[in-house]
Amino acid sequence: MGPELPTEALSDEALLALVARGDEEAFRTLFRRYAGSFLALARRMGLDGAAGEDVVQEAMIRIWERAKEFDPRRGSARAFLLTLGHHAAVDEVRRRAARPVPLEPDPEAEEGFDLPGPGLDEEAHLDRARLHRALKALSPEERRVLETLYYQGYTHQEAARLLDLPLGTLKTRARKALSKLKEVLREP
Amino acid sequence: MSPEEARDLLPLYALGALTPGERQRVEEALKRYPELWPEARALLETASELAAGLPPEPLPEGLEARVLRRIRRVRPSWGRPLLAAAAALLLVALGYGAYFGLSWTLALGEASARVLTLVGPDGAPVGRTVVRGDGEALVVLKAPPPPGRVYQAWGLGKGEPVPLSTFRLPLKTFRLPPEAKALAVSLEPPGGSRRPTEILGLPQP
Repeated sequence: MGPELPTEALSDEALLALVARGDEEAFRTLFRRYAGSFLALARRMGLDGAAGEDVVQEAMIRIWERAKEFDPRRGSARAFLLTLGHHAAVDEVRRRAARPVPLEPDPEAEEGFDLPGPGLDEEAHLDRARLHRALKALSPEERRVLETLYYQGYTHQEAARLLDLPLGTLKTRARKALSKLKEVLREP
Repeated sequence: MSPEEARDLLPLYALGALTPGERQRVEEALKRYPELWPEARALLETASELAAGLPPEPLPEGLEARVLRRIRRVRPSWGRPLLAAAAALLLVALGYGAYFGLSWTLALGEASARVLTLVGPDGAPVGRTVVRGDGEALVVLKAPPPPGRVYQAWGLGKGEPVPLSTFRLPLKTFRLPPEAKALAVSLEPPGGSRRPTEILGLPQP
């Protein structure tokens, strides 16, 4: 039990518990695990260059400040971290109004879900292929709702206007899309 | 915000589609209403796949150092010894997953929990303890006791050490008596003793 301990061996949950106590080493391990995903998400949401880096910085600061709020009974550490990262990206997109995708909904617009090709490791590639398959199982309307809300960062009121949907329909569609996604992701 | 209102907004929360004000109100409702947790958990886990499914981007050089500089300004670190102790404790305890449950992971996040190093007569660390605000304590030692001996824990307060139970595994939880603020560990013959025979570790913050 010397002072130099490999925090890499710890779960995300244990790392967050240590970050909540101010552990910089645990924080660095989380940075190495998640910062690349935060940057990818920022890029996917249309934030290039310095804006993408700002998202990573903001996401990591939020993790540092809010690690104490993590409660494993309410969800996994991974979901907690990715939610904080996504919220940071959404806030930056809205601040810069930097959405490069045309605001008018395009019925043929499916390219948003053509995920990039294989990355560096096989397991991550399989995860991406699984997500891609799951998204294909949604209706085009459900995919468009996910794209507009999650990847373009619109609020539900803005999205309802853009997609020309009553707010209630948008909410129902978002719930249904997530529920279907969950079912398909669960399939072997 | 009522639980019903929060439930209605949960999918939009998971998709990041709320305004900052709405987001904050949903987060407050989530803390308050445990009945929302199963649904929130399922939605957040699913939505997070939309981020996890993107191939991670290579990071610009120096970004990690820049982030570290910023967090040091946000909140001072607790200092390395304590942090190393906590990390060590977690690392060792992970080997005894069945004993180290959710509550101890949660306890490390509580301000009332204290992490103490147990130091032997020669000044070398022999283990760690976490003492929660409610008096529950976890002890993690480096190794099992030598053959023919057992460990015994002692509650430390103002008076004599209070004998607690004996144990053989190098990881054990206790409830401290109300007067005890910390605990020590000794080596004893099987069955334990009324007074410590050979002090193995005394607490040092």
